[in-house]
Amino acid sequence: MKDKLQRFFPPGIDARSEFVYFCSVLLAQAFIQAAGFFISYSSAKSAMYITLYNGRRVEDPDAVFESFSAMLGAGRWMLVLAGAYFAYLLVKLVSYHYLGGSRAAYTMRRLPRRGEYLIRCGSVPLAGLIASQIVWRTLTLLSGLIYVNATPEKWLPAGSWESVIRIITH
Amino acid sequence: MLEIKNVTKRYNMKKALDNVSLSIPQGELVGLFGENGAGKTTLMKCILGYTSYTGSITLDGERISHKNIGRIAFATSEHSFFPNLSPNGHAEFYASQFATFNRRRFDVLMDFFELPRGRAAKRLSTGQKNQFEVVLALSQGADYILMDEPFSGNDIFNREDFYKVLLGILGERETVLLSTHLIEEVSSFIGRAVLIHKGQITGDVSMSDLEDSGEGLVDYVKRAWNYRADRIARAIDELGEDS
Repeated sequence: MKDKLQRFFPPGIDARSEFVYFCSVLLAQAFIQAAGFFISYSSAKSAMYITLYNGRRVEDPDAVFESFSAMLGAGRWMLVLAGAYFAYLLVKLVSYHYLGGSRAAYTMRRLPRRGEYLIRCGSVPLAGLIASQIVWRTLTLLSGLIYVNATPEKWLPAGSWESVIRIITH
Repeated sequence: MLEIKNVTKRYNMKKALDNVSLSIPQGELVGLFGENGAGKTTLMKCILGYTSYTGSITLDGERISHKNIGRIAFATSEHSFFPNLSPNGHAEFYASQFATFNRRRFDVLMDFFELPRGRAAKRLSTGQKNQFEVVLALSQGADYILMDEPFSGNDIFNREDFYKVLLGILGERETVLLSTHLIEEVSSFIGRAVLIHKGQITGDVSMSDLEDSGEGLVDYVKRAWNYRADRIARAIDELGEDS
């Protein structure tokens, strides 16, 4: 497993620990996006009720249910942060070939296997960017399904499902 | 045969190489001499395809590409190893990339220079880094080994060890293009001297021809560069007159 992973990192870079960071970033993105949505959704639902003097909670006739898009703030931030991390990883892997008292780029650029330098510097950051997009879109779809199906129909803003699709396909 | 034809390289408006032509057949040990900024490193970088140029550089008639680049090795004073990788890790990596990698030569040279094998290359001393750089270049199994000032920072004993090893291990078809300032030191073991001055080849002589002519390599270089020995005496005289 380690050898297979190492083929996608420059020689001398600890592939296993980089892979742990890679997975951690994606897990953190997924967790925070999901948690952010559930917190927003719960508080939006609570905001639809008012508590009377006797402690009873009744629906607020003037309340407007929050739009789906407004509930995705945490997810959007995490998408940006994950993207920034994978861009940083790319810079780190490329600059490794120019730092540490050696220009290992000279060796990478004269390898007979064409594309080796590109694969070892670019494939993991690119895979990370793609994976973070998949996490964002999948969780947005699941959140959208919950939003549309678990919300009383009278609260749903018009065109809610179209809004979900628009965000996913944007 | 490594053939360099009419190669010109410009950095902005300045010509680093000016219409350089040179043929290097297999099995030669060639010294490339020139002052700082003469174009020695640039010429090597052109051969390796690290920088763009006009003209042509071919290896046995074919342009140098990923198909034949494995036939050329490179050792540079800037170093080209992977700083976090151990020498043993380098051996594994080279073996996976270069089908011709000579593990036995690698082991012999590592033992000869008494280099530690398990430590990250960046933790080696400056002299050890130079030696390791040379070990890698010699072990790649390349036909052409380009060496750009490989001994800067090594003491005379280290360098002498290296010359002896180089002469002892090189195969008949292995060619070394050695760029260095240490003209006198290498004069006894190179077979040919190429001089480069301000981006142009100003001299190209075989050591046997030079020997026949009775001229030493240092004198040949001085002559080719129009070195004026009297300028020091004149400067001292002028200083004497001033005081």
